This record gives sequence, C-alpha cells and structure tokens, in this order.
Amino acid sequence: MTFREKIAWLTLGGLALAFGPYFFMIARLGNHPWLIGPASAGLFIAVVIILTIGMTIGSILVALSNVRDAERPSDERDREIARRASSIAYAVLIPALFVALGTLILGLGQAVLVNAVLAAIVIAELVRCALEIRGYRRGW
Amino acid sequence: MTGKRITNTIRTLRFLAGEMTQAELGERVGVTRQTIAAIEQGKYSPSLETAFRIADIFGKPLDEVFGWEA
Repeated sequence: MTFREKIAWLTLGGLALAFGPYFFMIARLGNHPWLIGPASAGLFIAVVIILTIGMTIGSILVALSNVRDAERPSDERDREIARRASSIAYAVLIPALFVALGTLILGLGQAVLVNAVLAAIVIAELVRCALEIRGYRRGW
Repeated sequence: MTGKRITNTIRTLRFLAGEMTQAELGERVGVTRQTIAAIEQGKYSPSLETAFRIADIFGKPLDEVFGWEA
C-alpha cells in the first residue's frame, strides 16, 4: 500500500469518525435554540481540533512507517488517480451545495444552511477519498 | 479497439533482465514500485512517455512491450 493510499484511508476514517457523531448530534438538536450559538459552534470547533490533531498524528505515524515512500514525490499514477477522484467528487459537491442552498429557500434557517454546506463538503471529501482508494486497489 | 485491454510483457522482460525488481524498474523509470505492479497487472495504463521509457530500459520497441489483448 502506497503512502498516498494510506493517507486516503486515514482521511476517510478521520472524517467519518469526526463528522459522523457531529452530524448525529446536530440532527438530534433539531430546531433547538442551541443549534445557533455557543453549543453548536463549540461542538464544531471541538470536532475540527480533534480532526486536525488526529490527522496530524496519523500522518506522522504513516510517514514514519515508510519514510522513503513518504518523501517520494507523487508519480503519474498518483496524479491520475487524484485527478479522477477529484473530478467526480466535484460533480458530487456542486449538486450537494445546491441542495444546501435549497434549505435557505425552504426557510430552514441559517444554522441548517451552514450545516448543510458543511455536510456537502464532507460528503464530497469522503467520495474523493473513497475513489482514490478504489483507484489504488482496483485501478481505473 | 473499444473494449480491448492493453497487455504487456514487463514481467517476462524483468525476468530476462536478471530478475530485475519492480522497485529497480520503477526507480529507473521514475515511478513507484506499486505503479510498476499496477501496470503489470493491467490495473493502470502508463503515459506514452513512461511506456517508452520502460521499453527503452529493456532495449525493445514499444510494441514488443505493450500490445492489445488478443
């Protein structure tokens, strides 16, 4: 497994573990007044900090497990896999963002809009990572 | 040509070149060992430049290294 495939697994797992519980809690809050304000902002900041620390430590451990592989610049296959995965993830991101904007038209409020935009970005990133892993394991 | 896969003889050529390793070939071509493995397994079709480099290393014309599946 290449360094970049390991990083894709790490990012996929990190995003799922960090934002899965976040969106679960946000969904449980529903239209609670806390959805806007310190409670949800604090939760979001906590998730971002945990994700950043986890990804940093994870990336360092992955790099230390094979320093030579980590130091090597990406080759043409890495770039092709990243390009294809990103282009499909972009095609997921745009409609997901339009759905998020739709929540504004429906009058669901700013908090729902913000979280819907965040969800669109997270979903697109999950798709990108999953497609990169697929590209490394099965080819295109 | 749609539907046909590109095959290659890299595994055989490596053997004939004194059991050259995938890592060694990758080093000389400028790609990772995993990319050479993916090319051998037909999971990745290399760029024209990389294909020529591989053929050049084995001293073979391109069509002796890469070809359409019969």
